[in-house]
Amino acid sequence: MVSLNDIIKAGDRMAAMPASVARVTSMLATGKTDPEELSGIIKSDEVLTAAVLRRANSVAFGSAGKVFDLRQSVVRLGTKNLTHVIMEQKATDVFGDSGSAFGLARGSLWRSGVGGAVGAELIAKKAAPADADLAYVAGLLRDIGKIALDAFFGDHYFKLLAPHSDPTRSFVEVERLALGFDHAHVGQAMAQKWGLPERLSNAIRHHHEPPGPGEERHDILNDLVHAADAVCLWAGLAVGHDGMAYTLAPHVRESLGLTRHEAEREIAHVWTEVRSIEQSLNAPVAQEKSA
Amino acid sequence: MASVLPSSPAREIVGRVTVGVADLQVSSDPHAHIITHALGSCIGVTVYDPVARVAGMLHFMLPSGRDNEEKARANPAMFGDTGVPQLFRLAYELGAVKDRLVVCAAGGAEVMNDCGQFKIGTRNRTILRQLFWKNNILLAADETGGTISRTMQINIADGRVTIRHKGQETLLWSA
Repeated sequence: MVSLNDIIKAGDRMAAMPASVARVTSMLATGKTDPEELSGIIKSDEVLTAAVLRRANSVAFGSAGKVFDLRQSVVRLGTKNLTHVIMEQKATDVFGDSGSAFGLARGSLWRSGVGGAVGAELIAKKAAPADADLAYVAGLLRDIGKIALDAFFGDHYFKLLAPHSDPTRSFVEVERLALGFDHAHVGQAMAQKWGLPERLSNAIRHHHEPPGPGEERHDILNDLVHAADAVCLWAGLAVGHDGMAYTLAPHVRESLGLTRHEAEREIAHVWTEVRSIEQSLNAPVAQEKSA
Repeated sequence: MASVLPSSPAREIVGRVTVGVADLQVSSDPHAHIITHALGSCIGVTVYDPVARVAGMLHFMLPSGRDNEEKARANPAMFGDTGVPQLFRLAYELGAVKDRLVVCAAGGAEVMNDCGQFKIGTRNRTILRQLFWKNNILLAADETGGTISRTMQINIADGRVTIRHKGQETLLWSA
């Protein structure tokens, strides 16, 4: 029987937490961003420097026809946007080419991560503004467990799950029947190993099955990431072999005050934002893969 | 994103054409096939005129652009109620005739236990039925609903439509 530790070791070999992501996560979690330090992180990394220049000079940022150098770009973007550029760019390293174990094309996990970040932050701004920054990070990293499972099992993963698949079971239930744990458990263990804040690792753990109000470990951050995950599914950002085999926690609509119309606006917004970020970062566009 | 805007003439595409999410393509190249991947709650719609040998495919994400008017103007293919008319218009521009069109659909899956809260896949299926009902269009074949993801493909040479799920291909429509 494969143990959670075996999977985590495989994940460690495949993906390391970039120091810049750890540092920016810490800033966002504590609400203490340091513009000087952000500039230092950007200047020490050529890829990040290029990403900041592209974002500041992008049409999406209203900069058509103007050209800003790095110093001007840093000022123009401001600390919040700089943290996002760093996280979104470095997340391409975190997710790498992972995804084939889940029937996902290269780039899909990154794309879904960015969609989760944008979606969770957007919903949080209305429902829990104090948690917006943490929701952004949790949405981005919610599927890191898939990296480790991908590294350990590769394409064999679905053969392993197949005997347990059943239309009445959610995908995470199938994973637990096959392994004893699911990709959200693996993600939590990786987050703990990377030293991420506890609320963040718990949100990764509960992003498919958030405890309801009154239950132990209920946290609105979990609800935000859960809702953002559903938004990404509806936006078609990472629909793999798992399809739509996930449940929606009944309490989340009420806890977040999310109406059907708002959800549809958010789905359209998230999809549009991800496309825009993809273009501004020159990120590898997800190559589609057959279901 | 739709590659052809409403006012633009339909363009020719050669070879394998991939339709992304919120995207549509039409072609009259008999050597081409059109494919879209990972249909979850989104719906793929194909049209085929066996005489003009024109085919098209739409992959729409949401039922209606009414709550997202700006986005619907920028990208009609994102929504069923703007994307479907756009698909038909572009097929007509390449010589397709409504009465000859073979129309198929796939996707519209739903998350499990939605508790009747959002029903995106179901509402995508409903808007499609309403549009076709109002315009006297019959679906020749469809495979929609459930919780699975699907890949849909149409070959322009013969209009054959196939669906792929977890590596297994099934025939949805052939002449």
